[in-house]
Amino acid sequence: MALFPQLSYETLIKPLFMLRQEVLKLYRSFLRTAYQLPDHKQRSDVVDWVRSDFKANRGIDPQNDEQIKSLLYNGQKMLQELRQSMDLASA
Amino acid sequence: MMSASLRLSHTWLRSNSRMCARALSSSSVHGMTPVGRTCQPLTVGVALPRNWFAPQIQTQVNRWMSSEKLTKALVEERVLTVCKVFDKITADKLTLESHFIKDLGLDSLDHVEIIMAIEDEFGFEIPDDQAEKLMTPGKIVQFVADHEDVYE
Repeated sequence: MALFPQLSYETLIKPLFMLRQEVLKLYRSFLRTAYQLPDHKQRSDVVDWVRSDFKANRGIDPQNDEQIKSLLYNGQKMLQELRQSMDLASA
Repeated sequence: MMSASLRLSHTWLRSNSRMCARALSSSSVHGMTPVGRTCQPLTVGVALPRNWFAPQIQTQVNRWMSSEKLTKALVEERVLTVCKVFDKITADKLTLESHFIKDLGLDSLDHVEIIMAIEDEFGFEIPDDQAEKLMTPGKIVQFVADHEDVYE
């Protein structure tokens, strides 16, 4: 658990079948953030990037807790970076 | 979990309101405030253009914002239009009863996108646990009609 300080406690203790909901929530957060971009070309680029990343990881073993959590962690990190860079750009 | 999603939607609404306010102020005549164009958070998501929104949706949005009464037929029409505009759906297979995953061959990520589009079209958030049950356009129509108190 100490390996993933970014993930909230609720995420870490979730049983496996609820991790799916976390993944979908993360996807939704990414898309919501992307839809704030004023430039349409950038928006569709970001959306395509997010989609391809999520779909590339589709085939992983659904029983593998640790891998799923580490991917979630990376995803949340990238979402934070995306949000920060958007805040910087719009400031 | 609840507080995180509330926080997210709050942030989204707040930042969208800022963008809307900026857009409105830039288009208003200098020195005059446009009448009746107060920036209410729930309508902002509908007003923002999206890259795969077709023009049909924009006219429907304008009709809605001019407070045309919602009927079940109108809800159906708008839900089906949102689905048709989605680039991964072939329009000929789309009916009210076609299952997104089983009949139309989408996956759960696409389903999330469709639900988000419905949220933006009708201007209210759909929580995740209810969203995952809305697997056909008919169910979405039913859900929206229940939420908006449309009886017909």
